[in-house]
Amino acid sequence: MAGAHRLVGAGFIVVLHLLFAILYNKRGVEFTGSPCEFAVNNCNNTKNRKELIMLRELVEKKHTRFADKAKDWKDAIRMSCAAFAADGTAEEGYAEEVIRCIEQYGPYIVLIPGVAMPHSQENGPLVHGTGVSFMRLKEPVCFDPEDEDKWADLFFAIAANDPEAHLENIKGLMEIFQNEELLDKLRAATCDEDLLALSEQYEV
Amino acid sequence: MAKILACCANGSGTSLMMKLTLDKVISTCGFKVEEARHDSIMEGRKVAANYDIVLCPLNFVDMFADAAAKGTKVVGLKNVMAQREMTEALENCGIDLRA
Repeated sequence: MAGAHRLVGAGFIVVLHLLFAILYNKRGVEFTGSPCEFAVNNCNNTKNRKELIMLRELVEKKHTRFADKAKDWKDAIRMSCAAFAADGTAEEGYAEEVIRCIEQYGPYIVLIPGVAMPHSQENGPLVHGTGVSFMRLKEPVCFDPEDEDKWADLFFAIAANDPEAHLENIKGLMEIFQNEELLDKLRAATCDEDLLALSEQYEV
Repeated sequence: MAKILACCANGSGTSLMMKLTLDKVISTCGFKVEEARHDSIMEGRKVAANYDIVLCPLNFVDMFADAAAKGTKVVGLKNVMAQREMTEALENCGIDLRA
């Protein structure tokens, strides 16, 4: 009887091992060592591989928008934040908060000519999640007629209430913003499939 | 060793990018920095005089006039992600970051 128990126990461990291997291999993570070792080493699995593939995630979350134009920069901000209201990442008032910040501080959200990153306070009361929302306009909007650099046709709105996830989003965005070739291709994109193709090509 | 503060409107987007760029610049150039952090303009203004250098977007430079009057170097940047611009600005800010 003791022998049978040992056999069942060993069989259980093997099945557990296999389950972990299948589960984590599906997630693209190499499974080595015992299940316990693996669990301990990987419970905050952020370092084993590049987790965040920004463009693909935006498509999966339906945080993408392709529009011809906006009435003005305020309208562009509202359009770029609409996806947050749609899934509850932030309330509808978040876009108005961003607009108020720009009216107070100037168009600081235009990081480089052509690229805007609408955002407001981290952890503000209107924010319920952490995410990025992409919008491409065919016709750029001007934020300041007296500053020729403050225009944008690419919008990456951000909302944050989780500092770690937010940091990963910011790093991912920086990678995109520093690639001029990719930015030009984003301007030419017309649909989610284009974004997925770019995501694969540039690994962002 | 220098203390550096990166500031922008909200302390969460642009200032974080500035801080990430600053980390790379410090590491690449071998600058000796005791403290490097980021914050919003409103909070940053209260403590700016305690820092040797304040980094901010160009159009926010005037907001740190008080700290500048007390000797803090206020460095305005056109592109908060550009390592080259930040490196040059820090090399020329008047503080020897390799001392």
